Amino acid sequence: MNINIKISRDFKLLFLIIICLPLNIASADLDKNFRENFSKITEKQCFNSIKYSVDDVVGIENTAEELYKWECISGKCEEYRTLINCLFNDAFEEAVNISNKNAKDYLNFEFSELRNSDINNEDKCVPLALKNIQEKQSNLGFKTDCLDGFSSKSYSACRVTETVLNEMCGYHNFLIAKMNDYKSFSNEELGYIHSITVSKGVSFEDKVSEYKKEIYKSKKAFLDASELYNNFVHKYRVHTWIIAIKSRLEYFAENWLKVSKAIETFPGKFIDASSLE
Amino acid sequence: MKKLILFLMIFCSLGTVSAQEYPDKLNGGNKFNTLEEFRGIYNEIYKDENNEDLVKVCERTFLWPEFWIKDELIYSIKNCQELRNKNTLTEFINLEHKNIQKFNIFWNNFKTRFELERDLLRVENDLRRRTGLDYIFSDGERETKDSPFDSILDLNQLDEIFFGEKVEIPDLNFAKKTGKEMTEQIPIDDEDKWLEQIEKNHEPKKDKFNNYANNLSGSLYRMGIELFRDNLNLYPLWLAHIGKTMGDKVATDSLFTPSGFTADTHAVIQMSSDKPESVKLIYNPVSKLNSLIDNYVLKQEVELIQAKGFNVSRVSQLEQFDKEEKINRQKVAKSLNDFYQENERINENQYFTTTAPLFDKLNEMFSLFREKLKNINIDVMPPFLDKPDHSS
Repeated sequence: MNINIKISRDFKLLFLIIICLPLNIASADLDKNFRENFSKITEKQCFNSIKYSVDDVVGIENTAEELYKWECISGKCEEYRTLINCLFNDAFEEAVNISNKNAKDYLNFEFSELRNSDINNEDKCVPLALKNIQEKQSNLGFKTDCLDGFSSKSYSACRVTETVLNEMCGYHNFLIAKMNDYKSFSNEELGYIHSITVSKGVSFEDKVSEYKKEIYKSKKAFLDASELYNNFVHKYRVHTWIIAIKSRLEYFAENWLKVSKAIETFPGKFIDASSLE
Repeated sequence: MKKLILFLMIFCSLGTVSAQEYPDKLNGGNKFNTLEEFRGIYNEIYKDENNEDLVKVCERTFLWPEFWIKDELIYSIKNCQELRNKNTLTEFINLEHKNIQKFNIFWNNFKTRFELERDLLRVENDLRRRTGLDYIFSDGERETKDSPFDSILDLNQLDEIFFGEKVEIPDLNFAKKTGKEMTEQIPIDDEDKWLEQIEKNHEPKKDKFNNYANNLSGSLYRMGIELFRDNLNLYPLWLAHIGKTMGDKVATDSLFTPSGFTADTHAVIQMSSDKPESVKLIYNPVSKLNSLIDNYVLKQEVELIQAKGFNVSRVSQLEQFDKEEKINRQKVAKSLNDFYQENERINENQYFTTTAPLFDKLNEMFSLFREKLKNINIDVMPPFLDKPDHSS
């Protein structure tokens, strides 16, 4: 019995050594102090609300359904993406509601609020995500540069962009730390052995390459989404005003047209008319 | 200024309006009834980033020349579907290549081209996505099928209220239409047709009593002007006088004027020049006329072919014109030749038979008279007309 236990322990150790040996043991690890205080360092630098540790799993894996297809399916990657998605969802909703409210206050025109469906919450978003995140960031010491008029509103394109940038800063720092830390990579690979998912023999270089792509991808997604949001906010405000004005004008429309045509007859006929005609 | 006054009037006259549904619903509804349509936009953008269809990339890769032998593709495009089921490219390639050397060559080529095509497709997708997102709210789509509101549509509605019509993008075909053609739907497919129509619209009104008649003479006139502009200017005025002194047959029509050409028409060239050589041109016009006729016929035929090619109604017009103004080269050339020969004969006869003897007789008489008067007073009697010198 003791021999069996001893053999099984030795076997496990041997097995671990055999598994670890083929892995590329090349990169240096991060400084110990830096690893321990990584979360606080990034929060001070970036004011991100998500807490990161170097030992956290990124969550980008090769699903093997398609060649060269690495997807964000779990871990901090998924958490970051969900947070930003919920942030934009909340921003859209708030922009619509407040614009409608302004139309009512200033033009006495009531829009019915766009319905918020609570049934379908696939995004797993927390209510008031935008405000919560902005509060957390301000608690960490962040001070906004968006101070002029409309820009100071929480749902303005300026503020939303700032909020997302802070979160993206923390996320990128996390990915860069992971690219320079072999220890956490090896821990992840060992973790795979004991789980259902079987390691595909991915090298550290492959992971580093994917982390770089993820940084680039998240940046591009942010740029496109923030541009879309900026466009939306501005145009929706104009849209509400135009709809409200139009509803007022419909009553006057026919008579206004008659008046304007009668007024324009004289200048249209004589002013700027060429003497040669 | 007018708009500002209008806005002020509206603000002063605001009243209460009962709550109503989202306005676009009243105009036929739209796709976005809830905020759910905006939910998850970031996720969709993220998933679309750097997400190329590898089968498409593979198909494009195989179009490179390295994968063709004697105009035949080494691999079938269907092989690209197998990429989905393989864990690595090496497994995919190993199916076809048993030879390691060939495999290495192929692998290097394939990898390079594959990555290039993937990058290109990525750029395409990026552009598509960015432009799509940019114009989602202001593309003038009447049905707002890609957004819950459209700024251009809103402004159009305001334009219609204020001015009775909305600002349209200028119709590029508008300038090509004249009064009659406004109702016609003439398809214009290319620049040549457009230019041809413009030129036709700017041509003067065609009438058989003016210089732009659409008949043989008019065409010859125009062609003559174009081709022999300088030569026509050389014809001397005194030739016109020859024509005028021919009695009843005073010529008012010219070969190059469009009142119809007949064998009885006599030519009068009302030009001026000091060059005697130009006389010869008048007496040898047949060769010039032949070239004129050839050019005209060629132009007509070309126009007919073009019209048939363009399949416009002008074909029937040209065919009809061709029948009416049938060119008979031989008849025209003969008529012209006869005319000039007759003209020459008349001139010669008239001078040598009638005019010249008269001058001679007159000179004899006056010279005799002078001799008889010598004894009386030569200085008193001035010399009479000298015999004209017709040798030059």
